[in-house]
Amino acid sequence: MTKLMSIPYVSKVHLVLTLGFLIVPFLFLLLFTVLTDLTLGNIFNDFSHSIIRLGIAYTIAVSLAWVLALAFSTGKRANIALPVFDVLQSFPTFALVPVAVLTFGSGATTVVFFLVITIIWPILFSVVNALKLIKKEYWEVSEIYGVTGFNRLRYFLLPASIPGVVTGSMIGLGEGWEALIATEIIIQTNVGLGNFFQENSSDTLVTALGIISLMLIIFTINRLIWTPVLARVYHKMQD
Amino acid sequence: MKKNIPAIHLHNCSLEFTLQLQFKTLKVLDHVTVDIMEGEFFVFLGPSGSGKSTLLRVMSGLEKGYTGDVMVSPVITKNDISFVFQQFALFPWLTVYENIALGLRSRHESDAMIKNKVMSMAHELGLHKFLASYPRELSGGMKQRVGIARALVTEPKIIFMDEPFSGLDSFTASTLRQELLKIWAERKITIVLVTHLVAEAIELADRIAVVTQRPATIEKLFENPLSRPRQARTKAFYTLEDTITAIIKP
Repeated sequence: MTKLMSIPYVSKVHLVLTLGFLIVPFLFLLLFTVLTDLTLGNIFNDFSHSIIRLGIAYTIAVSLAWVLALAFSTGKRANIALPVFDVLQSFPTFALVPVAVLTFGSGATTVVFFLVITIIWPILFSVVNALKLIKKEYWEVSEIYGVTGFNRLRYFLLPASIPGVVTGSMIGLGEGWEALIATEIIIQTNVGLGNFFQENSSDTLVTALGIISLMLIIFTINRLIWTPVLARVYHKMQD
Repeated sequence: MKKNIPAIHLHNCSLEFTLQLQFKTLKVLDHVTVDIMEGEFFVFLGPSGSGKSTLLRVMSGLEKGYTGDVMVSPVITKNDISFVFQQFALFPWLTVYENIALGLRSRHESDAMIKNKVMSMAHELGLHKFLASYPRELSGGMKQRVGIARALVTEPKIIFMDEPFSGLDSFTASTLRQELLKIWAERKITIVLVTHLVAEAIELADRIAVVTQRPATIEKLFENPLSRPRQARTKAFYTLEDTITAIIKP
């Protein structure tokens, strides 16, 4: 609670209302079951599987992107690495579907793989951008006071790159939801949002309610996590 | 206080910057030769854009690619050099305590030792009540105190100061100048300061190097004839101020 309060909610009432908003998607899912023949268990099963896949992929992507950005954002290495990353991010991801299915099968691993190679680029380029925008004087402080190795990471590069991680995550996850459903439909997973939309593709009401539920979940994540985190990060970066 | 041993020796130091996308170069330093003595308070005085800050950065090792020689006394290591920046350059994501402690972290000192040194420095500079604050919560004067504390806490032999008081109001700047002189006298460190203010140079310096408009060369180098402590509103002070101003604006 203390940590939550350190995120810049305007007031306790604001925090309570924001947390209270968590209930809205669940209420909507309940309404969903009333309006259709689907059970809450079925809906929850598909939604939770997809959200967990996205969560795992995001964790892998953000870690990889952060490490790559820190290693290749500046100096001669950047001149070589950044064009390579640019080519890789433009690669038609779904061309790899047959190879990925052959390698990982038609399950969660393939979905996570496609999500990682979708989410990683916006995060990587946002972190690179954040590192490139670091004031020259901060690099000089680091140089003069011998802030090197682990200390350079801990006290300088990691905090300075956090705004890039946050904005990159918001963009990356936005693309991730799309890639998630597309991959699940293409490889025909047994469970997940792709499976949900494909199975109910002939039922307009269920499809519409599914899309609205998904948007409510995304909106809730934005209000609960990204908006306050972004505000806090930019507040911390003010000098 | 000043010894006759050079802390830094610059010989025929020149520097050109390549202006990207303009396909031309800009000469910033032109054969600068000067000795700065150990324990000396040395001031480079010149108009804005003259290249005096670049000169400071060359001496401190922040600027490479120059021609000529920059020799630092063998008793001075990289760890003995500190720098105070015009715009403070405090890490906004760190507290005052962590900003001051930054230089000590790389020296593998124990947390207890770091705490001891930071607390002592914070008391000396009146920052002890602000150790948990972030830079954005401080006034310009307090930020520069943190910058000075960060520079001093590592017990350097040389401090380079790039127009450290130019962003501050005159009262705060005057107070900080007096505190700096006290610290300099107590610690017997070499200070190399850059300023465009003639009165500031006269108040602080043992010697003053008047720097020409870019490319920077040393127009005139002279001992400050005024004894310490210096009173700003005296005839001798005003006369010296007029003389130096005449050199800068012939």
